[in-house]
Amino acid sequence: MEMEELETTVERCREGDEDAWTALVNTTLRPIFRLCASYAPSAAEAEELTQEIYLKLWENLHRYNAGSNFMAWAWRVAKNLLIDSYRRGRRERDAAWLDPEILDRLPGSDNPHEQAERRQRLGLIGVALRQIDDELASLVLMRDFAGMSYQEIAEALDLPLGTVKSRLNRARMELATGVRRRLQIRAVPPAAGPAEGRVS
Amino acid sequence: MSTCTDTRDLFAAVLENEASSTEIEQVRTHNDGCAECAELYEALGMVIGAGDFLADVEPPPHLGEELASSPCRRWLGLLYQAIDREISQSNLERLLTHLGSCPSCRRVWHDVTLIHQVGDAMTPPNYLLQKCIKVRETVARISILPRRTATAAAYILALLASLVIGNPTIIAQDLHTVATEKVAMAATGVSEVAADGRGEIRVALWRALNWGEQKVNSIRGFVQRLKDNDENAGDASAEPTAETDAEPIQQGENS
Repeated sequence: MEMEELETTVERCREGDEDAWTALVNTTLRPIFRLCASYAPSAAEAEELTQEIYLKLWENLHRYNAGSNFMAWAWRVAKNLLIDSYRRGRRERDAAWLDPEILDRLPGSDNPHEQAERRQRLGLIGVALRQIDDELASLVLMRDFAGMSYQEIAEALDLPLGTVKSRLNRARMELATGVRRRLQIRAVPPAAGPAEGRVS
Repeated sequence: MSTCTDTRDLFAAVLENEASSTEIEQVRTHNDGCAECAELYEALGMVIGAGDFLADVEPPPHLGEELASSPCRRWLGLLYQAIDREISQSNLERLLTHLGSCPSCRRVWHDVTLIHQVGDAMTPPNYLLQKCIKVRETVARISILPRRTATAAAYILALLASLVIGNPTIIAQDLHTVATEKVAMAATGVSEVAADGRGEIRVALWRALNWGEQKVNSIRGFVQRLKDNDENAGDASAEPTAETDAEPIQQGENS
């Protein structure tokens, strides 16, 4: 659905057109579920979160500024729900995108070796993501996991586009450094005798 | 003997082997006769010695590797530009050449590609569409019974339940089961009118409050009479009976 068409659908929803609501959910379900699955600790919670967000969207539809970005507005409406969910996942050290059901949908998932390696890499990414500041992590989740555009993120967070880009760059750097550090820690054999150059 | 201040000024020079033999002798002579300066000299020696010890500590081997690969940070910027499809052709060619020779950056490239693949794979299950369409019906119900009203109704029902079931009059009359049924009926009644409309809710709550008030008055009267009986202890005729004091449960039916 084109942007203009989406706006018309939202307008029809506000006027109480039931078919318009169905059309709106149909069009936006995929990006909204993806957003929820990026933040939620499990696939089941992502589904619940999606329903809660639609509930909030319906309740607040009259507040939507016609012509602004729907996804950015949806993020703003759902912000607290998403952040709470992410924090819960952080505590439980889990993420919906580590769910086997989702990993099975990746290309080449019939190769067990590749699948195991991918799971391990995503596990490392998950750990590194939890190590970085919540706000920076949120940028990575919005852009790289949920696939939101820079413009949508800027509007959702009410930040200039340049700030979003520079912060996202920093977030990604920290994430990449975190993953690399974890790999190196794994590469160092644990207590395998006195290391060369170490003071005994 | 030199003063403490003069001697302490020489401590660092002596400990760092930069003092003359006269100065070393001056410190030694002073410390032999001054316990406080001797202790301070010893402590300062430990601090300076710790520095010598740290000089011998070698950095862990992986730290060197990490630092060696740190120049790749400048390539990560281009790498993310490529992923966001905001990279120029010349930079893309430079990046591809670098990726060919740098396993570290290749790994990051694979990680980010993997993240994007996972994002693409996060598709909603088929049944979720219907569930999300139906949330509107939940909202429609909520608009008839606002959250505050619902909370008030719940509190009042809880109050009534405790008043009716725990009412000593009712317990004395052995009407406990009947009272429990009454509360259940009241709950059903409120739920039913809740589904019908806002005006009916207000009426139901008003009735519930009246009913609760009657029950409170009933208990209050019962307790008062018990007090009166205590004061007239010995007079057996003042003992309350179920017939005279207990308010029949049927009165609650007015609500």
